[in-house]
Amino acid sequence: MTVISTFLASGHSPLAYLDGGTGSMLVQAALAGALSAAFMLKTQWQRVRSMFARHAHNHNSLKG
Amino acid sequence: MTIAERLNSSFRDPSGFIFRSGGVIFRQIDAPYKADWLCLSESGLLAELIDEGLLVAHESAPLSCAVSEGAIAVIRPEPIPFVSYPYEWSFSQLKDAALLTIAIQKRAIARGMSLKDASAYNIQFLRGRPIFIDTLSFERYREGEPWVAYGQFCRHFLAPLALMARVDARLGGLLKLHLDGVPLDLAARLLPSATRLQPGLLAHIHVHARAQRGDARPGMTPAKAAHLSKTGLLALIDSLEATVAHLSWEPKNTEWAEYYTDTNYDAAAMADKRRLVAAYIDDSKPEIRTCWDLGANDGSFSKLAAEAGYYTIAMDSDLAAVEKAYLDVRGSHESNVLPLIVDLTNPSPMLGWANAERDSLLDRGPAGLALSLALIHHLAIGNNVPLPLIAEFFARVGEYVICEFVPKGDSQVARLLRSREDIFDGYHEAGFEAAMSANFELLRSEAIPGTVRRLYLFRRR
Repeated sequence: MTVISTFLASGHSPLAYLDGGTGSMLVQAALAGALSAAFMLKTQWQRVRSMFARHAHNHNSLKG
Repeated sequence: MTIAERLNSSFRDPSGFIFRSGGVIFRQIDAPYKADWLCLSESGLLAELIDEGLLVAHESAPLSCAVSEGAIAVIRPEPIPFVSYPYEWSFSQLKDAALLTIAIQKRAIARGMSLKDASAYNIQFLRGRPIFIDTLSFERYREGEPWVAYGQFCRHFLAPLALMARVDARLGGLLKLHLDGVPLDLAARLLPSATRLQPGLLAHIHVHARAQRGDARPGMTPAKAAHLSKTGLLALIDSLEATVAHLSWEPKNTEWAEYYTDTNYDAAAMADKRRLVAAYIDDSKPEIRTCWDLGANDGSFSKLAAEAGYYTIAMDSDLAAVEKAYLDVRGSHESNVLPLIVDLTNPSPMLGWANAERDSLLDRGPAGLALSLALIHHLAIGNNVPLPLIAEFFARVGEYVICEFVPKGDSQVARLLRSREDIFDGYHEAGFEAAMSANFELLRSEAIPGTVRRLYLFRRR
């Protein structure tokens, strides 16, 4: 925990009037690491699907 | 000379504040927010959110309207016809407000900005849908910074929604006790252990609550800005969205069914009652075109008032009824009905800093018209409120009152008296009329065909 804490930098926006909370910040950092790979896969897959959907739509429009 | 009054709900953020002048709501934007305000506009985010109906629209007001030094702009937001609070929302209202916050944060990040807070009080309901009202909640996104409002989002939205969905819908009332959201350690203790098997709830509530334990520990390095890549931030937002979207609450089937069947009306009598209520609404001519439907149940009579042009607040203490009314409003794109959870025997009080941050229910009135249909026996017999006090309450609520008197001969009253002594000697039509006469003039009264009940139309003196 201490190791993680020490890599955290300070200097957030001067207008951040909320206390984000140390625990909340640490959890974000940890979760982001765990979730990023799956999220990237998901977004790539959605991109591919929408590309195919667009292709199919264009194909059908041309046929119509 | 018009006196400007700074609203008590707007004091935390140094970016600006809300004030009322001449009955109009303004928002003053102060110098510290200048760079973010420019970015909000120049990035296209402001226009995008307003165009999509996600953020309340506004007009620019002259800078001379500013009420203190240091202003860089003054705006006049579109008025919200009735301000409501998260502790008055049904499950789906709070869920829609949560998903709106997430949708706005995703758009903000795409435009190089981020929400600097995620308070449920930044959301109001307008035209039947949730809308974001805090135009100053956006700051420039800095690559690598975490979402400062993550903890607040979990307290204000995720924790109460999870408790309502997985433990008991009444736990949404915790928001009245904890104005800055349900503490995550409390939510973690109340949630069943099976929620630890759901990745979203495990991460954002259970692990999050555990991580917060160190916040108060001496020597803990202040973590004002943990490093978080943009992809990591988007992944976090995506996970929050999926976790909220996955939560659902549906009252038991029998409870739903009761709203259609548990009345003292057959179809013909109900049609007669609707016809009479519509006629009485038509005879009411208040200046204020708002209606409070007290004990609105699923809001079917609220719609009559809405059709007559009233912005109608459909209030009921029954969570399932309010949920049903909201789903109906949402599904039918009804723009003039706002269902809210209101217990008339204990309506929302003044809350927050100096007892003035959140208005009480009555402070948000009065309405032009009050509907009290199939309600009075619950107040007078179910809650022992003497008829004169009910009449005084009505006088504070509305200029016109349409009231259905439910006498002792009615089976619903008999049910209330079944397990208790009848100490209500004065509970009859004559007693009710006498109580109302202190504050009201009787305009019209008719028996409701096919029932022992009577409908009244009163106007406050």
